[in-house]
Amino acid sequence: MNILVIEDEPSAAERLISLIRQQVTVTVLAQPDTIKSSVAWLKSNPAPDLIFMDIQLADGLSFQIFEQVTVNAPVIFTTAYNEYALKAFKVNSIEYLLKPIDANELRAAFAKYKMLIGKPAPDKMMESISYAMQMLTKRYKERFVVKVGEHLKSVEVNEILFFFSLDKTTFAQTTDGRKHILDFTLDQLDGLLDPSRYFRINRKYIVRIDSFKDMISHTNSRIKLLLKTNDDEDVIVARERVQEFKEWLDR
Amino acid sequence: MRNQVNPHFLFNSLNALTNLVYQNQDEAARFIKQLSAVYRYVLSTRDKELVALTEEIEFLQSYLFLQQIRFGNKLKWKVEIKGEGLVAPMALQMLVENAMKHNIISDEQPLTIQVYSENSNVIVENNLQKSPYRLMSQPDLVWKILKDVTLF
Repeated sequence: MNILVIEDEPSAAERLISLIRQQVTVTVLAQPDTIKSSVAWLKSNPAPDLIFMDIQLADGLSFQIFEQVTVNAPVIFTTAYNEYALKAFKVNSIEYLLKPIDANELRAAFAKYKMLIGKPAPDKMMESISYAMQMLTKRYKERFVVKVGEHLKSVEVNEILFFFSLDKTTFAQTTDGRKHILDFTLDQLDGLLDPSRYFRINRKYIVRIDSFKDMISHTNSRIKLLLKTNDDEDVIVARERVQEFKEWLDR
Repeated sequence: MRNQVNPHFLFNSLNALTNLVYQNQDEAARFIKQLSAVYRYVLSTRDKELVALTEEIEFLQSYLFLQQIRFGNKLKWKVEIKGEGLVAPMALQMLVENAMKHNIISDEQPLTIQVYSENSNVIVENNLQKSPYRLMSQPDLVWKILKDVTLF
């Protein structure tokens, strides 16, 4: 059997392969350790018989591999921790193994694999992967509590166009042009917001992907943004952020 | 790590150890020794504001040894400190941990961490290859820390 082992810790890969070899005769075709190298391998090689896939890799979650390449092989996921993902797999009965991997569980996984082979259910699998993906990515901040005069108000993240910092105070500017003071620094916000929608363009601003009406080339290979509801200030993507900014937009 | 002795660190270490005991018993024994050195340091410095730089460096080396076992050739490090001084416990380790958390560590892009002294400063330096992946990192824990910090 030809297998592909995607795993970012070398000793974990070695251990997994040695466990597999105690049970089944396999040829390990490759051992990529990132999403990038896995996608590259899958694009340029015929599908293996089975793929072992660690969920957490250095450059992301291995589920992202499925977004970038069609995977025509059954997958057994391995993970050290993530009960959400595990729950999703349980519900959808995709095989997964919890690390450290137990020989008996591996044997059961192979038994299941043999039973399922020839009964392709890729749709079901994609469905459960996207479900797991949702479970894992959903956890960004959804609203902030702000003070309006004496009143407290909850502001949905959806209403916020951009965040900025002025005189050590952090503000959120909403679609209606209002500014609200937040109890977070931009650095803290950076980790709480969905990175596919929000981007830290410089020390002072985090902008939402649809918050600007125009982008203009600026001196020193920077980019100037014209933000909606904000005409007064020059908002410029820092030079060292420009490349990442473009990649973010181009996704 | 100081207040929360990062549970993931222990968890990852034990996981790595499980692999190691089958592959190389001597190395596994060394691993256990270094792991206990790390936790001994965490416990013994718990109430200290400052520790000798040499102690922190020794601890840092234990910590890096453990990470090295996990990541093999993908992680390269060098610690070269001259001179003496005092430092907040786990200050250097925290910087190293951050570098490892936010950067890609892979065959194609190994992470190099260098800790050295320059004049009277200690410098922790790494090659920048930011991981696009924000460790959907235990959001609950992140929240807890944020709350502690901002007295939310």
